[in-house]
Amino acid sequence: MTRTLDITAFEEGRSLWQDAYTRLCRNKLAVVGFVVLICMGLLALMAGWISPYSYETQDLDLGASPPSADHWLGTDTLGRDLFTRILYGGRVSLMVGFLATAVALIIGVAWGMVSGYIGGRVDIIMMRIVDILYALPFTIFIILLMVVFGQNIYLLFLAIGAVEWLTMARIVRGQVISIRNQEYIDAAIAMGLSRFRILRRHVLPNILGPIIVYTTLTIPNVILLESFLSFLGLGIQPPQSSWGVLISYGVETMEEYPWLLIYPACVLSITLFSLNFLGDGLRDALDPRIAKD
Amino acid sequence: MALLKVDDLTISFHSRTGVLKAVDSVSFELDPGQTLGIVGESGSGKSVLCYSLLGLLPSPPARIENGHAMFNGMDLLALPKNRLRAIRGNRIGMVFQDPMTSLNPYLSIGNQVIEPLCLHRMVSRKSAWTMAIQALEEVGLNHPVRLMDHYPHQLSGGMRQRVMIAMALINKPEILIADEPTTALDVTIQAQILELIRKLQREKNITVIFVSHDLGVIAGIADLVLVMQQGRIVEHGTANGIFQHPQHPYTRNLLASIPAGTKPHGYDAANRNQANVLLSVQHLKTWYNDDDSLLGGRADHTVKAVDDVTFEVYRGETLGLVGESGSGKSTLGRSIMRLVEIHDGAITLNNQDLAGLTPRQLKLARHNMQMVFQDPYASLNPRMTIFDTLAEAARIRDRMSDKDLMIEVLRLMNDVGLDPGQIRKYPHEFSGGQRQRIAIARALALKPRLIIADEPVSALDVTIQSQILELLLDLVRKHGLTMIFVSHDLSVIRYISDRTAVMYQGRIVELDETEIVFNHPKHPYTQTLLSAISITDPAGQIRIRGEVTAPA
Amino acid sequence: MLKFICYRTLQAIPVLFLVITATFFLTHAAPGGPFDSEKKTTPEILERLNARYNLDAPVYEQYFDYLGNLVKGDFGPSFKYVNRSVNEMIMTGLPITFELGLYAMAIAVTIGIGAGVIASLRPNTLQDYLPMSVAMIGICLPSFLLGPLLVLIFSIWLGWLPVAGWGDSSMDKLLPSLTLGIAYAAYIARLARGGILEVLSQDYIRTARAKGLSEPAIVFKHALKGGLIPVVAFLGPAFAGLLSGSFVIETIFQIPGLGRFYVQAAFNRDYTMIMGTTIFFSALIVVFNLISDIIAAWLNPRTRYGESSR
Repeated sequence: MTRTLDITAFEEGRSLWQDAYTRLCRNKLAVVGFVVLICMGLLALMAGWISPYSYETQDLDLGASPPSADHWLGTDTLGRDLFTRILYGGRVSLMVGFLATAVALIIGVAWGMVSGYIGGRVDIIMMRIVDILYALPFTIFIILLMVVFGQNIYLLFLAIGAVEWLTMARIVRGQVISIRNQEYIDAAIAMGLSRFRILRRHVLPNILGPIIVYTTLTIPNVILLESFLSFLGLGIQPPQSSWGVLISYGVETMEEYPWLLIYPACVLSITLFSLNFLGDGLRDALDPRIAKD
Repeated sequence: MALLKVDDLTISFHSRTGVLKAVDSVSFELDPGQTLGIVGESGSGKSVLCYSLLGLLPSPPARIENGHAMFNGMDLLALPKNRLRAIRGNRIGMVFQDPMTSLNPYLSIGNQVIEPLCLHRMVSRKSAWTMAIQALEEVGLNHPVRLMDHYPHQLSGGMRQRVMIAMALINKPEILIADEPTTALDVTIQAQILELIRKLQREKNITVIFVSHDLGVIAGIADLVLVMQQGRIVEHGTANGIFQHPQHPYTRNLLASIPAGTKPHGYDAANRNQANVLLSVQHLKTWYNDDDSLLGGRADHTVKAVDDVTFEVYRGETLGLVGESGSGKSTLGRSIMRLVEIHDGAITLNNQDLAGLTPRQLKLARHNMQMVFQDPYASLNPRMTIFDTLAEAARIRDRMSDKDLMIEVLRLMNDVGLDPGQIRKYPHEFSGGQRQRIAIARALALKPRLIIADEPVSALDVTIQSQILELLLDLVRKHGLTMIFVSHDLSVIRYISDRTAVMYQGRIVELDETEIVFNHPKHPYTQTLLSAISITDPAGQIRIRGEVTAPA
Repeated sequence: MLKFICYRTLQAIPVLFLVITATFFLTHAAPGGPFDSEKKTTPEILERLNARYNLDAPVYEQYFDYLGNLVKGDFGPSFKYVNRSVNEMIMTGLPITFELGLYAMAIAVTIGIGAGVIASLRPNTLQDYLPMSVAMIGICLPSFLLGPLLVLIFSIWLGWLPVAGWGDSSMDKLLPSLTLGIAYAAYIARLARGGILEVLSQDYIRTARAKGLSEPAIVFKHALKGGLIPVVAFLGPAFAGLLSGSFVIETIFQIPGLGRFYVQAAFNRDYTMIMGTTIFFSALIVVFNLISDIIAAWLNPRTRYGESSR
């Protein structure tokens, strides 16, 4: 939206986003969580440049060895460098986390917005579908899918995304309904604005907050789900690794080589902590009740 | 001997953004059997004052900086927790504002009413139950035995408030504190509750502290009055004294802000002819279903919000639409605006039939009618600056260059009395009254012929209310607008409307020139409504008191 | 209330139907499965399959046959183990998994509600931060991490508890139940605390205070009823989660329960076993969800008594 030069002459106001940002920065745990996540992401991305090893390179003579100068976190039973495997594993786990959440986000938001805004029969039908699907025990179904169709990483995204979109749709719909009842929406309708414009300009910016919070809290759930499946051997297949796969190996040999369990476990836990702290912090920062004063 | 003596009380709230003095050096005395009315607008500190007496203020943000509240030789503000608890609900009872949320929805009425008894008196549950039934009877509730087993959601607002009063008085306290007890109720129910409090006062000789923003209510019930503004007592005295000879400018302003009497500039009756009809509503019915099953509704779930309404509005006139909650007045306004689906009937605006338009035609037709809503906090998109909001509206009618748009937005701001320098700010940075001005500006941006104002001042303080009313009258005159003004407040309607329509259960039961409706009401419901407000009409009360204490 | 129960129960039926149908057709599409022409199994089993399933008939007939058998409670023969039926295997594993689930749920509910209530009594103090931090750990440490960790500490290093197996004494059952239940205890603790604090900010709590009730009395008499409703609503999904969680726990601790059979069946591509167990588990979950929804509705007087005024 282009403006004349005149408008910059006017005093700027303080938007609700700015207020929320200030509140978020005050929450130390959330900020720490955010920083940790960024570091984790960067490390995973630059795995190739950081480590001299590949995740597949085996050194059968060496076998499992504890941390040393050559291998910062040690090696596994096949002599593969653990640090490298954790980095690449992080890439996979984080990618699954973000992509599957993205799938859930897109479907869930679209479904929720349409259902919530149009209301009436359409809403009732769309929500019944969600209710029925919600009652299905999805973890079991994902396992079934994996068994039937083989372990394909893209299928994994879709399957997990297909589980998570339901709750997202419900949350978005709830938010849209509460916004829809606000009088500024009535005012927009009374002005004759198109439905699309109302959704884009009036509804979406106001439901963004809870969507962001819920998305941030969905990512750790997805990563957990993937790790769970991989641990059971039904998720990511070797030689590719994810944190779940690494932990699975670690459990097998935990008495003799505890480091194989401890390091991947720590990394997974720290990531999950960070995401949860960040999500909680966002929720507190964006809480409309606090914004009202 | 004073029952309660408050001395130099100062309470402040500490937050990250600073310190706010909610109550500033307040002192007063209360003798047994007296009724003290505390009146003030929002931010006056009247509620904070009352909560502090029972220690109900949240302690970290609120801090009592100074002062004493002596009650029977004890300083309420310095009592240890357990002794304070012994007083709550026992020696001092409290009734709160919103009956819909003040009772626990998960416990039965009976279980809640016997609680103060079981807590403070050593009575068995069985005898407490009997005493509770008696208490419910004393507050005028029918079938008290049955009511004891009901849950709050099964009772109406008025009934719930009676339960609250019964609960507060059950241990025969020495003082009853009532914090805006009738504000959330309909006018007719309000009158009943006030009658009840007055009756209890007489029969039991209770000392009452009655807080309200409504001068009429205070005038009708208080012996002594404290007027508070921003934490300080600006005036105190007998009710008669304050209302007949107000000293402080703020008190005078408060009294002057009550819309008194008739509309300043009348409407030329000659204009009421066929040629000048702007809006015609014929047999309008808006029904909707309370059922949300997939298969459509059943007959007993149909709510007839607007049930066969017919009327006309002439160019340039202001029609007042008055009724209580559930009368259908808001739905009528929204039906005309086509914000809700109508069931049947015709709406003709400017000779154009609104009911039979295609969506595209409807969009254009909307330029002719705009609405101002009730809640200034919800009628503006919190994520858009004022400029964005007004520009969006202005752009709809005419395509204009950015420069012209800016000029138009600034003009609108000036028109409603706002500082144009604020256009980049967000709604939450403005007060309620200012937001309402912005909402009016937005409505005007489309240059409509008809404005429907749905309770536009009900959520505002009295002094701000009068400013907005004057603004509306001004704009209507200046732009030659036609207005439908919806409200539950009869004095406001009287002040602003040329003609008045009274609605009851979806129908218009009376429609005539305002003064005729107010002075010679024909329909029994109108008569009931008018008699209810006479109890809360300060002018009326002052007249009555004046008659009693006529100077020699 | 009755209307609600009927409505909700009726809703459960299409769900069950959907589950059975989806499972059946998915398995049908599996390469090398019992319905595929390239069945990868031993001749003896093929014989039993043919006898039971009439595998040359069109899909629809097979589907209705399967449904018919289900109604009789017959899940068919195993795809991998000769002379064993799915029913048999389910009945062997079920009691153990059921016991495990029961203990875990008991742990989750008692610790969860207890911690949540304690935290809500003094919000934003140590009494609050401590349980909630521990809860956060419970959420972020998945059971397949916590289990081995606990085994490492208590069984290997300290030697107090057995490493694996489902022994006879209750001490033997402690570690697996605890591992399974802790994550849910954490969720429940957070829900309980959130629910109670939400209720404590309501107006009717102020009324209770004005009547002279002490803070603990307010929490227990007024806040608990409303505050625990989110917990009750969560019990349905918690049960589903516990069931899935049992797969991992039984694998780690080598417990011969239904969960472990399920995982093995998944590995072994024992399709009939997978089909049968999926349907069985799903039916259990649907029923449990139904029960928890009904209880949550009953706790709310609005739904229990309907809306009637005067």
